[in-house]
Amino acid sequence: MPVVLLVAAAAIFVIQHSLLSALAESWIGESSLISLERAVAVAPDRSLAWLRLGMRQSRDGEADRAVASLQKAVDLAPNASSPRIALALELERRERFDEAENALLGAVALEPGFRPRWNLANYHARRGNWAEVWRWTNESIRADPAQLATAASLCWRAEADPATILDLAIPDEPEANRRYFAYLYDVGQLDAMRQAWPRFSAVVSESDAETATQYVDRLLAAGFVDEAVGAWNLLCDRSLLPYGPLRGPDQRFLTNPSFLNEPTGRGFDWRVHDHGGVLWTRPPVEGDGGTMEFRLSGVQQSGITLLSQVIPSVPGTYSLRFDLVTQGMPVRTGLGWVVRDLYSGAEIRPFAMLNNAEGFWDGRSLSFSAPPGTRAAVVELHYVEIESMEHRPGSFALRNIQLSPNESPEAPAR
Amino acid sequence: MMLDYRFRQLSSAGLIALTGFAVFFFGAVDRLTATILQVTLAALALTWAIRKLRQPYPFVASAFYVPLLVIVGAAGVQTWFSLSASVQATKSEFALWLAYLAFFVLAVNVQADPMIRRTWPVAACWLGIGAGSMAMLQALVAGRSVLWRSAPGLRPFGPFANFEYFAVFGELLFPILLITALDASRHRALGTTAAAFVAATAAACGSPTGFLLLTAEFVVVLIAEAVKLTASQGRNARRIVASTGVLGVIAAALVAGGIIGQFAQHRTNPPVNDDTAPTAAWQLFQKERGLGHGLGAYAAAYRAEFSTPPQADSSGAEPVRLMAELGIAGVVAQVLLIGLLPIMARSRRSWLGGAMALAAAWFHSWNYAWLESPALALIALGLLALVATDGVRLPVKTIFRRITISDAATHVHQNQSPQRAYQVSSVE
Repeated sequence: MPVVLLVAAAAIFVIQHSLLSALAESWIGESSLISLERAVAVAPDRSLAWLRLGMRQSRDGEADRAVASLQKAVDLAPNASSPRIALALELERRERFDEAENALLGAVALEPGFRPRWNLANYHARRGNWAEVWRWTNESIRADPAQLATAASLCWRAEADPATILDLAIPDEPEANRRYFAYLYDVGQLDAMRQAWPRFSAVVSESDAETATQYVDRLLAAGFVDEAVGAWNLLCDRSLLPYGPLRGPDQRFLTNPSFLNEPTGRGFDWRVHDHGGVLWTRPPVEGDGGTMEFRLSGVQQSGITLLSQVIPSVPGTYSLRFDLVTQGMPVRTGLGWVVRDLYSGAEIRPFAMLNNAEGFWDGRSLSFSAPPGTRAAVVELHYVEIESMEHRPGSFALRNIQLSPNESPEAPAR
Repeated sequence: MMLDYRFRQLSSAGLIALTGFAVFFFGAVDRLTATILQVTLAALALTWAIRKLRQPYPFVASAFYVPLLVIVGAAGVQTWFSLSASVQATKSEFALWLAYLAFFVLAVNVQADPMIRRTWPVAACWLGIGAGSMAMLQALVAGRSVLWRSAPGLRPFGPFANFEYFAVFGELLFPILLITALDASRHRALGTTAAAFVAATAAACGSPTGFLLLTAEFVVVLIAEAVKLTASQGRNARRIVASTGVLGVIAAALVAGGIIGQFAQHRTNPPVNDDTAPTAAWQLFQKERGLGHGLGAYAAAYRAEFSTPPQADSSGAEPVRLMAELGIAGVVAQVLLIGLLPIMARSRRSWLGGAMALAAAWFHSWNYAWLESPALALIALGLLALVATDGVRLPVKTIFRRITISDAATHVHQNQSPQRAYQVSSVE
């Protein structure tokens, strides 16, 4: 008999609980005031029902009832942060600031995650307590670095000094530094990136190499050549890029001179420009040097740049040496090097057409003088078609390109 | 008053229908289906209790009640004394596990009758064919939908909202269908069809763990059958041919399903598995070893302990999660369940069809929390009842005490229905 009664009691509990829970859930989902009131009537111990009711009452302007409902939600779920956050927002709306802050601090104490800290940071932002904003933003990011973009956007909306944001709001932790640098790149804040670079550079890893080289591009575009070289060299020193540092003790001015690696088109590496009628390939490296081949189909346009590289130059005279081989190209190939100032666009070394080297590697060289004030130059391989030139397909290859301060007189371009 | 046999028969049909209903309605993971399930089970339990008062009948006890009672008892204590990170969630889980307990007790009591027990594998066959053909049809014509309804954000397969659920559904049913197909019974054709359907669709659903476990189950049954046939070699050539044919058809279905599964969309976009899930669950268990954080309150406990939310698809390491939720009770319940399986399983049918299927699903629970689907929980409990009633003979104490089950079986053998046999026997 007692077992039967126990079974009956358990069955009644299951039926009652299941039906009331289902009804309550259905009414909570409807979100109208009358439905939510029904929900709390059938399931008065459900924190979620009181929470939704309180939020609804708040929207309807029933301030006192909203606070009471939210307080009830807090009481029913003392370990949950959501009701406390909702209560805090409502209390703040009613200008009961101390209680609101206490509710948020309670939520922070309960949950070690991003949300309560982030709500507290927002609360202080609305109140204008910037020291607390930085502190709680810092805590938010520390709790979950994946949410850094959300947190950082608040700081930037506040139009604060980038140095202040970096020092106070961004925790000096590897993941936070990485994500903050990527965020700054996304929003295009170059000055802030320059300030954040020392922190980022300390933790930069293989997965960050692309962001870092894009940063170098931005620096070059903005005219910060020395910083760009510094960042590039750091990536080279850390073996994140497979090149030697520029302007080092070995006076290296060119990157990837022997085409040992596929050109990336970023930073100081070669940029190969795609054009209709021109195919380029980098055959597998044999021995200690690679080559770069170009095939001209015969329908290529005139006046195009095939290959270029930014070089961090200083005023002086330089020699550019390279090996060339052609196949099926006319004597006057239409190819020639141009060196121009990266920023003014002024030609440092004008176009001079190269003669062909049919079927054999021919060493060539040319020299140019960078005038005072030249911070960076760009070396470009151009193709132009002259009227008298025989218009036909052909191919050529380059290897072993060297740029060094002048050591030999300019050889005539053939 | 309804006859005892008839009452059990109707109860059995009700339990089977409920399981089918749960399977075909999204695995009963939605609130409405789960409510219908719980209310019906509670009503059925209440009916049994009232009937017990009015007309005493033999009650079949099982050692397997103990682990379930441990879980329900611990959840009851957590609910009663508010010892949970989310009392509301624990209360709901307590109600759900009470319904599971009711299902299991009723399943044991109806399956204790050999006549009724025989109907469960047949029902499993029809369930397998139904869900398998539906999954096949849906995959062919409706792609990523569930019950032909779009399911954004889900990875549905067949009637389930997640293909891993379907894989576990296959792992649970496949062995009993295989045994039904291999046993020299009149259900051989049905069993073969069902096993082939389930093998093909469960392997095609795209779950690597599911395919591995299905293959393992098939290999174990294959070996067991080979051993059995070797023992009877020379005496039963027709049986060797029949078994080889059945196993060949099912192996072909399994392989074909596996090949299709390689191209499943889920393969190209696999769920994000959080490698830290077992560690996090273990840390939570370490923190509350006694009574745990509350059955069903894992998410709330996790939020209170860890700053970053768990990955969306990281609900693996279910055994450790159960320990974290129930504390020592979770350990005891699982140890008892696992320990009792080899003790209680006596026949080849319960070893392979019950214990092995449950072991496979338990292994899968380390990778995916399938216990969240009440439909799968009911199937697992049905199989557990199959093991629990292995070798049990229903004690007859009531108005039928003069007859035995074997008497009834004799009448059945003489082409009479079991119900008719009881009636005739009772008149005798």
